Amino acid sequence: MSKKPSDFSRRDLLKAAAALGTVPFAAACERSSPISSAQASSGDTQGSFNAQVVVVGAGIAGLTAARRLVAAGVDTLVVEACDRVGGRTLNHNVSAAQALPGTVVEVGGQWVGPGQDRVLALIEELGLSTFKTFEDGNYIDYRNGLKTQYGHVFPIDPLNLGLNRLPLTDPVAAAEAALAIETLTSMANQVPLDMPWTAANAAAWDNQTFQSWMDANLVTPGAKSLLQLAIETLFCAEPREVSLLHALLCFHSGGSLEHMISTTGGAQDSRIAGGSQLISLRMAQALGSRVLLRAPVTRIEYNDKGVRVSGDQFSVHAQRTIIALPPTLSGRITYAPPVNGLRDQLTQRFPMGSVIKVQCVYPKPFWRDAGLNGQATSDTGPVKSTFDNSPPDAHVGVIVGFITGSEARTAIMQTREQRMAGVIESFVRYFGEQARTPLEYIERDWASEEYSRGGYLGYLPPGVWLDYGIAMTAPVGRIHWAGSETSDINRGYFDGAVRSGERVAEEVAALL
Amino acid sequence: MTVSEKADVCIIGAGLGGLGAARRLSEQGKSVIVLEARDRVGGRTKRGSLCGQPVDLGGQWIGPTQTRAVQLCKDLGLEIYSQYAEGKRLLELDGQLHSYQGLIPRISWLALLDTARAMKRINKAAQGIDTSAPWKSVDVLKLDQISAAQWLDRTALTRNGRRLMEILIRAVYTCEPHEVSMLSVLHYISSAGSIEVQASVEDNGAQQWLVRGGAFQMAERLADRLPQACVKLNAAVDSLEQSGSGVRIRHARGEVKASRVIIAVAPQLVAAIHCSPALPAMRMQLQARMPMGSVIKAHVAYERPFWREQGWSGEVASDAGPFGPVFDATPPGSPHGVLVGFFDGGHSRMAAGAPEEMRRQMVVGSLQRYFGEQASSPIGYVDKDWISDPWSRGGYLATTPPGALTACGPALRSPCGRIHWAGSESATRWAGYMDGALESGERAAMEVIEAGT
Repeated sequence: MSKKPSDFSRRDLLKAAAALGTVPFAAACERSSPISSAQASSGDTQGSFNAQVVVVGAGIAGLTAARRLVAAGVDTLVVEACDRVGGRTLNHNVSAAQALPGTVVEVGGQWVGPGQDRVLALIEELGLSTFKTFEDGNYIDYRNGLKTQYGHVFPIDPLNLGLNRLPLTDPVAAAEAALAIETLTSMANQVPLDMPWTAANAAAWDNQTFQSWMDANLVTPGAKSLLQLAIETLFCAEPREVSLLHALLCFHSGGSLEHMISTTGGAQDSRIAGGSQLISLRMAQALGSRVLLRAPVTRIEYNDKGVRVSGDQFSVHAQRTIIALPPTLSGRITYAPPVNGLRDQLTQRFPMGSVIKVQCVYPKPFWRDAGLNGQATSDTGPVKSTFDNSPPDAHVGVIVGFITGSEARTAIMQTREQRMAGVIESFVRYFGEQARTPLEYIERDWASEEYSRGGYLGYLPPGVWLDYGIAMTAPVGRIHWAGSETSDINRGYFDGAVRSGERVAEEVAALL
Repeated sequence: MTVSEKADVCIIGAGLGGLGAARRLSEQGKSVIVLEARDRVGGRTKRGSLCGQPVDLGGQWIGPTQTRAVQLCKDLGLEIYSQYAEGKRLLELDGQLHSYQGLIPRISWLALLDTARAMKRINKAAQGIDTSAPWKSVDVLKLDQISAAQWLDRTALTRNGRRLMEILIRAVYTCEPHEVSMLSVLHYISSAGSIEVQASVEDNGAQQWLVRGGAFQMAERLADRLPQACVKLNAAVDSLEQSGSGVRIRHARGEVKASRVIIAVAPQLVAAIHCSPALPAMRMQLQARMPMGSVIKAHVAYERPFWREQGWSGEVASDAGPFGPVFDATPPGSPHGVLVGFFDGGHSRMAAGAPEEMRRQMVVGSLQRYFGEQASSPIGYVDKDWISDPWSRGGYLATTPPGALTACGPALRSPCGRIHWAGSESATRWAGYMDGALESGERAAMEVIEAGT
C-alpha cells in the first residue's frame, strides 16, 4: 500500500502534511445540526429499556458494532449523548446564497484513501460513493516569510531525480526531511501493531517525545519545521507532547507516514459524496429506533450476570455493553464496581488533540484559475495547512484549513470574529487578495465540545504504552471497548473505527 | 426524594483543600455546604487500623517548612513527633543490598558523585521555575518537551547514579520517569524547595514529622469544627449548572444552590462532573492531561521492632521493589513494631486490583529481602490501593506528561465563571502535599471572598 521510501517527495510531504484531516474527529454535539428525522426528539431520552447488548456512542465504531450484531440476530440498543449520530463526523449545509441547496462540507473527519478497506467496503454497502480530492495544479509553501509555488515544474521525472520534490528555496532541508521520513518509516515498521510495547526498542522510544527525536536527529531548521508540521497536522498536538513510540505506531498503523500525509493515492485521496456523516446517518437509519439520542451515559453497573447502563433519565439492562468512545470520554463514566486501576489510569493518560477546522466558501475556486490546487503548507499560523474542499462540480469554491496544537490553544481563547480574521489573513497569504471576502466562514472548535474534548483523536504521551498498553482493549467484566483508538490498523481513521466495531461485535457475539 | 439546599458557597470535595476553604469561609461569615462523594472526609488522607492502633492509609508526614500543616496541627490540638531515623539505612541497587549511616549510601563513589551532581543540577533547574506559573519560566519549552527519563539520559553518567534518581522520582511523584514531563518534576521540586527536602526524613525534610494518632485527624477535626451538618457525605456530584446569578449543583442526595462553587478535587476527577455550560476548552484539556500517579500504601506490624534492635532505622530504598520505599512507622509507646511502605509508579501497577493476600505476600517478600527472615512473620497487615479507589483514581498526586503544562497550565487556577479551583495540584507551595492542599483551599476561599457575590 505504501510507496517505497525512496519515492518520497517533499511535495507529498508539504502538500499533504496538511492533510491529516482524514482522521475522524471526536464526537461532538451540535444542537442545530440536522439529524435523521426518524430520530429527532424534543427532549432527553427517558425510561428503561432492555437489550442483549447496549452500545455507548453512535459514532462509526459504535454503529458498525450495532449493525453487525443486529445482522447476527442480537437485540442491540445504541445510546448516544448528542442529539445526532456521527461522532467525530458532522455535515454542515453551506448557507451561502450562491451555493446550491444541499451543498455540504464536513466540519469533522472527511477523507478516505486506499488501504482503508473496511470503511471503503462499508461505504459501498451503504450505497454511498466517493470522489477524488482535487489536486490538479501547483502547491503553495510559505516559509520564513517567503511564498513558493512548486510542483509540476518539470512535467516528467523518469529517473526519479527528485526534480519535483521541493520548493527550490531550501533543497537541503527537503533532503534531510526525506531521509528522516525514510528512517522513521523503517523504525515504524519495527513496532508491532497489536503490542507496540514489545518492540525491540520500545523502552527507548516510549521514553521520549517526538520532539526529542527531532532534536537529536535533525540538523536543519527547515527539516524540523516540516516534520513539526506533519506531527501537528496528524496528531493535533505538538511534537513535544507525543511519545515517539506512539507516533511510530501510528505511522505503521496508517500505512506509513508518507501515506498518511499524501493526498492522491494516500489517506486524503477521496471524499464521500454528500458528506462523511452519511456513513453514520445511513447506519442509524437502518437501526431505526434502536438508536437513542440525547442519552448521555453517566453510570455503568455490572456483575457476572449483566450490565445496567444509565443516565439521568434512562437506563438500559443488557447482557453486555460496548463502549465506543475515545478513551478519555470513557473515563468520565462512573463504573460500579470500579474498573480495574490499569484501565482507569489508561483513560487518565489518553488526552485528545486540539483542533479547530475552518473553511471559507467563495463564489468560485479562484485559485484553480491561477494554476493552484488549493493546498498550502506553512510555518506561520493560525492555519498552517489547507486543501481545496469545493463540491465535486465546483459551483462554489471552498478552502478548508486546520488550526492545530498550540495554534489551536491560542485560537480557542479568541472570539469567533478574531479567529475569522486570523484565518482569512492566512488564506490571503497563501492565495491572494481574492481570499479576503468569503461568502461564508465555517468553523468547528472540537476542544470546546463537551462530548468530544478535542480531536481528531486521542494521542499518548511518553511511557503510557509501556505501562498501560495491555489495558487498551482488554474487556473488564461485561464491558468491551471499541473506538478508532483501539484499532491496530488505521488507528484514528474512519477505517480504524469500522475495524474496531467489527472486532468488538465478534468479541461480544461469541460470549452471548 | 430530592433535598434542595442553599448556601453562599458550595465546596466539592472534603479533603484538606475543601475543608480548609470551608473553614476560612465560615470564619468570614459565609454559609458553606461541602459535598463529599465518599462516606468519610479526608480525601487522600484516610484512617486505617492495625493491631488496634490507628494508622495513616494516605498522606502521613509533614515537614518543618510546611508551615500551614504545622500551624493547623497546633490549631487543632494535634501533637507532632519525629520520624524514627536512628541507625543504618538500607539501599538495594542492582540486586545488591547496601547499608549505610547518615545520608550517604556506600555505593561506588562515582555513582554517588553522579547522583550528587544530578541532584545539584535538578535543584538548579528548579530554581528557575516560577512556582505560580511554571509555564512562564525561562527555557520552559526545552524542559516541557522532555520526560524526566530523557533528562536523566543526558545527566546521569553511571548506571547506579541513574537508578538512584529513578528511585527518587518514583517515590516522590509516584510515576515512572518516562511518564512525566521534566517541567512537571521541576515545578513540584521548586514548590517544595529542593529535591533533598522532598526525599528526606531529616534536615527539614518532608518526611521529618508525624502526627500522633494519624494525619487523617486533621480533616476529621476540621470537619468537626465546621457548622453543624454542613458536610454532606455520600454526595457525589453529578452536574453543575451555572447561570448569571449562581450555580445549581446536583448530587447523589439532592441539590445545592450557591452563588459560587469551589471544586477541591484532583483535576482528573472533575472530568466526571457534567458542567453546563461546558467548561472552557483549555480547562477540559488540562484535566485530560493531568493523570494521577500510581500508588499502594501498606503498613505491616511485627511483634517487636526487630530492625531497631539490629541497628537499622527501618528506612529502605530499592530499585527492584515491588515494595519500597519503607519507613519505620511504629507509633510512640507501642510495644509492636510497624513498617510502612509503598508500591509506587510501575511497581504498583501489577499489584493494583490484586487480592489483598497476594499483595501481602509481595510486601513480606520484599521485606524479607531487606531485613531477613525475621520479616517473614508479621502479626498484622493493612493496605490501601489508591489506584482502584474510584474517588481518587490514583495518588499521591497528579503529574503532567510532556507538553501539557505549557499547553494548558494557565487553566490550573483560572476561575471558570463562578467555579473556583482548589486541590493540592493547584498550590504554589508544596504542591501535591497536604500543605499544598491547605494553601489551595485558602487561596480559593480568598478568591470567593474577593469576588463578593
